[in-house]
Amino acid sequence: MKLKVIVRLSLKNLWVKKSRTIITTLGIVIGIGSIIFLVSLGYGLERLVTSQVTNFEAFTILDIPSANLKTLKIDQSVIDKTSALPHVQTVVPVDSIAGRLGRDGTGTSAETVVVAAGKDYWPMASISADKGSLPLADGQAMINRAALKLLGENEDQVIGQTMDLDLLIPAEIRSDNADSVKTVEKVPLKIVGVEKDEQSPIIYVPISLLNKNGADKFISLKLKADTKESIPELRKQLENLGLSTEYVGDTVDQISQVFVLFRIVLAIFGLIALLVAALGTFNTLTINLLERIREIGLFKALGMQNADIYKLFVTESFLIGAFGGFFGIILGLLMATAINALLAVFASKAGADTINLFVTPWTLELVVGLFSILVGLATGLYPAYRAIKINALDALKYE
Amino acid sequence: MEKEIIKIDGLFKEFISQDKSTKTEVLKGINVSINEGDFVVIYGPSGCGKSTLLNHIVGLETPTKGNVYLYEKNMNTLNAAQRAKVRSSKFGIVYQQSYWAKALNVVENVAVPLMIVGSGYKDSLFKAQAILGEVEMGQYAEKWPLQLSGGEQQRIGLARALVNNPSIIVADEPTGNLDTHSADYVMDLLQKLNKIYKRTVIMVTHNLAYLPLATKTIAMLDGRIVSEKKGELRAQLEGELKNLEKMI
Repeated sequence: MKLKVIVRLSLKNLWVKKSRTIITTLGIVIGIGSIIFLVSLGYGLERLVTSQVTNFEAFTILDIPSANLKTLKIDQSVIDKTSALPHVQTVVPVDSIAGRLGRDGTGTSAETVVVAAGKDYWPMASISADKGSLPLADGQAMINRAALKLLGENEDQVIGQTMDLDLLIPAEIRSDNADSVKTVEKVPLKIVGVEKDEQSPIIYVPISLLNKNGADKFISLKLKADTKESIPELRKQLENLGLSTEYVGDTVDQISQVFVLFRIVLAIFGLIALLVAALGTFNTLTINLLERIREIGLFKALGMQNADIYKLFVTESFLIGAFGGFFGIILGLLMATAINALLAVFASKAGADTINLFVTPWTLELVVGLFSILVGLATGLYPAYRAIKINALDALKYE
Repeated sequence: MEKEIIKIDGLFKEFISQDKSTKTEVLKGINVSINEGDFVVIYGPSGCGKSTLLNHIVGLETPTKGNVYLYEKNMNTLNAAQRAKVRSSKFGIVYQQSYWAKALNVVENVAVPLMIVGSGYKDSLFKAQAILGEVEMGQYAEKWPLQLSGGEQQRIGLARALVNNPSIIVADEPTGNLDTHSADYVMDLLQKLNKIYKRTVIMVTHNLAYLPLATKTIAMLDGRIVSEKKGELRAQLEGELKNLEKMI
């Protein structure tokens, strides 16, 4: 028999018992919809968390900290060596020391962290100016809100003002062989920008400020590679140079592993719903079989091959699985979109950034759709097997 | 010389009960020869093995012993799928009770044998519609079979048996459930198929009134053939009819 004819007959068989077919398919729709909805929640939460940790560009960036290095110190020669490696686009140094910030005449001062880095460092570290601009030239600085708060300064008026910074440069980043901390007092800096962090006080300055004052070693380097794919090889080469590396991808991988587990747990809840639906489908197909025993006998008497009878039943279960999968995916997407839209409304009312709590990758839709078809097919295999085992003459006498 | 199309040779059939405690011998050494164009009527009391014999001819049963040859091919050498193929291509089968695919309307039910042999859906329906017209049931094409009377259903059953243009029509008590008028229609049609369209008809009945229609009668009793005759009566009646025509 032609496959098109088999599909047509199967559709007719399903349609003749409309309410039964619709209710059975609805079970699959709910099961598949639940899986899509719950697993999308898992993906959405993962994306929310990982986007907090990093942005896409961060996957091409490696940190080379000096903290783990016993003998080697990071200085200009290390920058030169690492810059010469293939696939390396940029290498920027960064230092972080203690400092004291104050303003002449006000008498107030605040202990602060001084972050000094090359101009390429700021975008690589996702540090930006909320107001004003980044400290790109000598004599410039950017201050964060936490430091402003300690100083009692108004952020709208601070830009353009000059502040004095005392630098406490530790021996580890100097080459002058003196053991003690070198103090450089009252370095005047023009505040050009405000950074939004309100947690701990930080002032951001160009690395040249520390270089001029005797700091020629760095607490870490940030290295930008040309592509994400070149990172593993680059890490090996850096380790061969005696350097250790930290990569945001490692953290994201760890987060992803946790979320894979989370998604599996969510998917299991959905699968329970689908299992109940699959049992319903199996029941429906078995009832269909029992109601059609005479019909099977007739088809066999008319010369229909067992293979075609098998296909007829399996096609019915396939169609239930396919329709259930299709509409289930739509249901899951609708629910996810509705909640995302609702959150967007709340977020805009609260003046917050819009977040997508539900994210549905197309691969999830594809896999779940295929899975639905597979479940549908699986439920039809046994009734189809029973159908071909029926004796035509016994079936014709069946009451 | 008439061509032999069916030969049954020493056919025995034994049924074993489900618990395997009892054996029932239903056919006990049947030998039959059927020629192309024959109108064979097999008759006898209920339980004598008539329908079992028919089921062997169409390959729905396999013999315990003996052979059934169709166009010189031993049906015993064919597997179930091959026998199904023979059934779909050579035979048109009419049952006493009409069986239907409930999801299909009249014309679709009639088209099923065509679909089975690989015709497309629309082609099958087109041919089925034409054959429904032949049995004067064209107007019922879109109805559900179970909405129709027994006589109408049997006509549709006949249409389904004929739609594949089979060379052999097998009818198992085709008028058993019908009123006289419907039964006459069915029998007229079978006769027409036999006489005009040269189809071989094998009919099982317990209605002796149909014996004169046969070119061959087979009487069965207790699993055996007790009498096998050429249809002398039909020949005699046809002869008389011709004489009357001459006189007129």
